[in-house]
Amino acid sequence: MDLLAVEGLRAGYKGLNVLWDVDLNVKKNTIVSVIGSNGSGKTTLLNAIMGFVEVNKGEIIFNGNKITHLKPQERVGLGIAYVPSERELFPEMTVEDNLMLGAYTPRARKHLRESLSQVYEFFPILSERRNQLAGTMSGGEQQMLAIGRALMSRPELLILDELSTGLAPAITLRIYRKLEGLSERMTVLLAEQNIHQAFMVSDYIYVMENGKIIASGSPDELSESSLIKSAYLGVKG
Amino acid sequence: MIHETLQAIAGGMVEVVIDGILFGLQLSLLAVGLVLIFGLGGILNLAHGEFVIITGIISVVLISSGWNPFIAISAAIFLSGLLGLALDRTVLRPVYKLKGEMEVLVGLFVTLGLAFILEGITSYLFPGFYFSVRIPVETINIMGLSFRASALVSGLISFVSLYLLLIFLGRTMTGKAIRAALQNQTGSRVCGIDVERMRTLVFFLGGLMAGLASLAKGVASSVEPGSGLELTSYALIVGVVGGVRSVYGAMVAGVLLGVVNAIASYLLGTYLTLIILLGIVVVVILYKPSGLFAGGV
Repeated sequence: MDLLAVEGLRAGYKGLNVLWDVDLNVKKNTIVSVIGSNGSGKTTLLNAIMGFVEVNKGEIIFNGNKITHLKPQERVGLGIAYVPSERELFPEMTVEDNLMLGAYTPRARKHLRESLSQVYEFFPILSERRNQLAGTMSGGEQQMLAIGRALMSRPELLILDELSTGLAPAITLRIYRKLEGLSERMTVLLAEQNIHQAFMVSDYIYVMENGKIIASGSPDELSESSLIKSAYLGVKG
Repeated sequence: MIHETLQAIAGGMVEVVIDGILFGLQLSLLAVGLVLIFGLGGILNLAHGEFVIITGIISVVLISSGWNPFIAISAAIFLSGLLGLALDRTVLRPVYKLKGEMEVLVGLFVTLGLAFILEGITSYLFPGFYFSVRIPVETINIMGLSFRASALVSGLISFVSLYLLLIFLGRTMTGKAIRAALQNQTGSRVCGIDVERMRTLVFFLGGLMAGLASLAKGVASSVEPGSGLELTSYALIVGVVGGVRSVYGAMVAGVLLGVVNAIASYLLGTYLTLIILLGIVVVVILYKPSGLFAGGV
């Protein structure tokens, strides 16, 4: 069953479409990636799913309910968590305060203490730094905090944008390894420029170019596609 | 003889500094409301001082109607909060649709216009009116130093109000959400925080703080129609020096400026103090435009 369905989506900024008739389906307990070059529309797609971008046509359906015109905070309340590429942390607040705010919605607040222990178990470094100001942490630690904050909302769907941006490959790999274990508990949708990492963790991949989905399939299927091989995997056909 | 004179001067200076701290707490209380509203609402509320005046007027009207003074003043402070909420929900609604500098600029004009309207109405309807809470004891002696009881009580009211505000912002989930929204609105929405609702709450809090500042000022001296813009100016001075988006900054800057104000009036005379305070503002704008204590919300 699809947890998230995007149907014929046209969306963009100030009335101008960036996305053109995008269809995307995310099944429960899978990891789905959207890959594409810089400016292909990946972030706009995630922002539209979260309600940060104006939708001009089409529908976004989550858990069988249309959420196309809900505010971002209402979508979070339904069980969607988002880790933007800019992380959007609260730099003047401690790690623990940042995490606690991740459980702001009523459905998450009931399990605040339990979620906090789970996040600390998932990212032990956050437990060690719990009283440190978020703005003083390294890029990798901030990324872990942003993911931890998203996990605090006990989401059904976790959306991650450009996880590897600005991070050393070893740190990115470590975070990806952690994410693999998450799909047993939740569904993950991620946008990624780092194709190899996306191929490594995903169950299904969408390829975007100029605001359109140009190909999709399992990593195995796509790695056989001549288009993907030449454009993204650096294999000359 | 010289030793005794020096001791007397030192003792006098201690009294002056403590008096300055007490006055500074009042300034802090006055400024935090303005800073909170600017930090989240993006609106520099130039009608902030009028909230102080209106709280005083409502208090006196209710007390004159036979209300218990404590209940009357509490109700007036709550109404000042509601006035803030009404400002956010009505006249400022169209302003929020504007973006960037236009929002700030139009917000300035709207609140300045509102300040003039409220000042005109209050001065016309309540000429010669003043709100003053009398403390039965004139002076209190602590460790050989003499203080005005009214200044001490006023300082205590300000201190407790600021302390409770800090507890609210630092310990409660709603308070943390307000601080979060002050720091990062997108990050707040990602957490499920309704930033618009937080802004309305901040306007209510700002009004409440202005109401409490009215009580503190009414205890220390008096609140009269016609002085709203002067109070707003003081709040602005504190805000600029502390960091116009920093609640902690406003609290520290208020006390600092209160002490400077007291020492300047003790050594140079009252007429020069405002010039000195404005001089500090100019220096801060030139060398640290974000404010001396900007950063921490």
